[in-house]
Amino acid sequence: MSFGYNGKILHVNLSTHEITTEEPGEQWYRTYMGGSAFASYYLLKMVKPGIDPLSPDNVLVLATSVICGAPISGYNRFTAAAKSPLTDYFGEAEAGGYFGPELKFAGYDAIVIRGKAEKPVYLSIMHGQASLQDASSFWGLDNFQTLEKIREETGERKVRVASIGPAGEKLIRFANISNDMEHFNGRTGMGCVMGSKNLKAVAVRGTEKPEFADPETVKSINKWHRERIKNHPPNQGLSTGGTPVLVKGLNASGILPTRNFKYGTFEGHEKLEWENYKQEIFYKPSTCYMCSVACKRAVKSDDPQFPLDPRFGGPEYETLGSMGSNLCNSNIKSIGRANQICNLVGMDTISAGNMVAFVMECYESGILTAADIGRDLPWGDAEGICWLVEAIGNRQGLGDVLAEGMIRAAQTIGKGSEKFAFHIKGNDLPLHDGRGKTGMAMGYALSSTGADHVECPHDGVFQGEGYQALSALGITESIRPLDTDEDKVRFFHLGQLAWGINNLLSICNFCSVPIHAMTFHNLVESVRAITGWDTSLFDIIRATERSLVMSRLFNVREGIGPEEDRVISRWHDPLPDGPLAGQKIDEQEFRKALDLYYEVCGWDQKGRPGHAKLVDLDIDWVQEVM
Amino acid sequence: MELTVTPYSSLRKSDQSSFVVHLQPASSVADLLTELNIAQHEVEMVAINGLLSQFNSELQDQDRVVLIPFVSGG
Repeated sequence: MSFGYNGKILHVNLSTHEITTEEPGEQWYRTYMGGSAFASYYLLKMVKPGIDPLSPDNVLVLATSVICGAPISGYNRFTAAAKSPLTDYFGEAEAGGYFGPELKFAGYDAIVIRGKAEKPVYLSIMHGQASLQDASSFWGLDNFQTLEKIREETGERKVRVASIGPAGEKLIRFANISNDMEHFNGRTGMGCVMGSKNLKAVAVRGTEKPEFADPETVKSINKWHRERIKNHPPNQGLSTGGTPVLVKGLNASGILPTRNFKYGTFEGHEKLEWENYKQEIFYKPSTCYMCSVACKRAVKSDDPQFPLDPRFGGPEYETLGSMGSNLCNSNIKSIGRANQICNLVGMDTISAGNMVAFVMECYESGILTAADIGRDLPWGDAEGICWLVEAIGNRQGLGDVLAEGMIRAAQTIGKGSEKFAFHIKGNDLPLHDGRGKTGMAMGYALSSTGADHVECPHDGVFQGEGYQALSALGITESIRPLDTDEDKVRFFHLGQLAWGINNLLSICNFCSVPIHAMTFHNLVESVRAITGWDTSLFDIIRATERSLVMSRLFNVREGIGPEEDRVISRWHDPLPDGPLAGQKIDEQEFRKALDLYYEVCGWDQKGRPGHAKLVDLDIDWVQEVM
Repeated sequence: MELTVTPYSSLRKSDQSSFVVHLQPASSVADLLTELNIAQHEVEMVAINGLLSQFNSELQDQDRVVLIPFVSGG
């Protein structure tokens, strides 16, 4: 008898329409636990190195965890993973909402999808029954229309739908997966992989909740957690204003990306801050399954130029950065509008904003003219931003070039545009400046998914006595956000392992350890109570390391070298403005820190985990697929 | 009671890196923030004498309070 999970993985071959169920056994679940590790396990086993990510040979994994769906705030996410069409390396993105728990209540812990359907289909999993349904009549519909259609067709009002919009169908390389129009597996083009497979959506509905080994303890941890969330500083902030509350502190600290990651402060910052957001566009808060933080924001505006519909999602911090400060755009309604265009067509707002920033800098420097773009596009042109985002979503004009992602777009445009095309391993940048938080810069450099802001906790929080949040890992003193020394490498390594717990166990970073209301102790207690396993923080962190090493080896197999572990050239230049003016990441020092990190991890000088590490983590089977 | 307060970055409203604040006995962190005119949603971490604390944590005379603004991921 398993507790907390179903013990079932659904395998779907879209080419043959074959649907099978795998029951891997408790030892497998104990070893991999969920999310990122389930994903890297199947991708290593099933994806041959060197394949085209848009071919039927690619495999898409949608994975929950052994604890996903338990009634504790934040235990509700799921992982989408495949070989990324944006980076050609390991692709992974998480989303919250209700889809993950519903998949478990429908009878499965994960779905592994391969092949390509001859014509558009959607995968339906209703109360344990999986089938492929014709989606020809949905093809071309946006995410909202798709959601409505599937609700109508299934007759299940409470069906949860993970879908792609036209962006995924048109193989925009940063197309995302939307669930219920409000939650997105945003990064690395997982929606593009769905589109390449003619898979329009996955619809799930179920009511069979897995039993817990110790339901009373689960209940009491939930009660404690909800009470703590009310008075826990970062959770209180997120409950009040969602992630838009970040803008003020980042700008004041001089690390709010501005003008394509050149500057760290934005003169129009007040327009992007929560106080103005609330006044101009806020409609109501919303939340994910069983979560009392409720950090999501619905927005509304009747402005004819930038209309906002509360059903289509509100901009989060990353979008305020990507469509706001980084484009010198202080018009919050236009940011909301650009966000809703992305949500409806189904593309990542971070990537779409990065592409606009790239074009704006190319326009400023004369590499692209108004004739090349289709209009003038100076910094801060709110209307122009929405226009270009729409053009990308429709693959119209220059938008067709930009839809190919940063590396390919810069190659096509040429004329020296590469120097403004910022990406790491092909993935464009989330909206944080590594010059002001070097541990996070290491996360950008080392993540298997390329530039990734949720690879590790951001250093700034651990100034002063903030390090106490990591004391359970043996961190006993504060760190300096700007250093790249030995202490920083140790801190980053431990922080990365701790933060990795969240993607492993499908927990939201905003409810979990180390910064938010959960404690390491009660997190472990909850896993013990849900699963009945005699597990520990040590055991869980080992599973996290397993996941990191497996995704790294996926990339090693694709030919990655240490030169791809890097940050953008612009961060080796001093910040020109703000309180951190003059601050830069020294290229040689940073390289030394990365080399030391490899050694700390027990990897070789080229950043490759070897035989001993695989033996240590009990995954030496990986050698057979390398 | 007398407290020493150290706010970081955007929470620092004056040139002084640390300063003394006088509050009524049995005040909480939330009361201190009201006194300093800092909104709770701007604060990511609070430490009292080196221990992470909550908004309802009660303050004692001579406590050292560190306030760190929202600067992490999103």
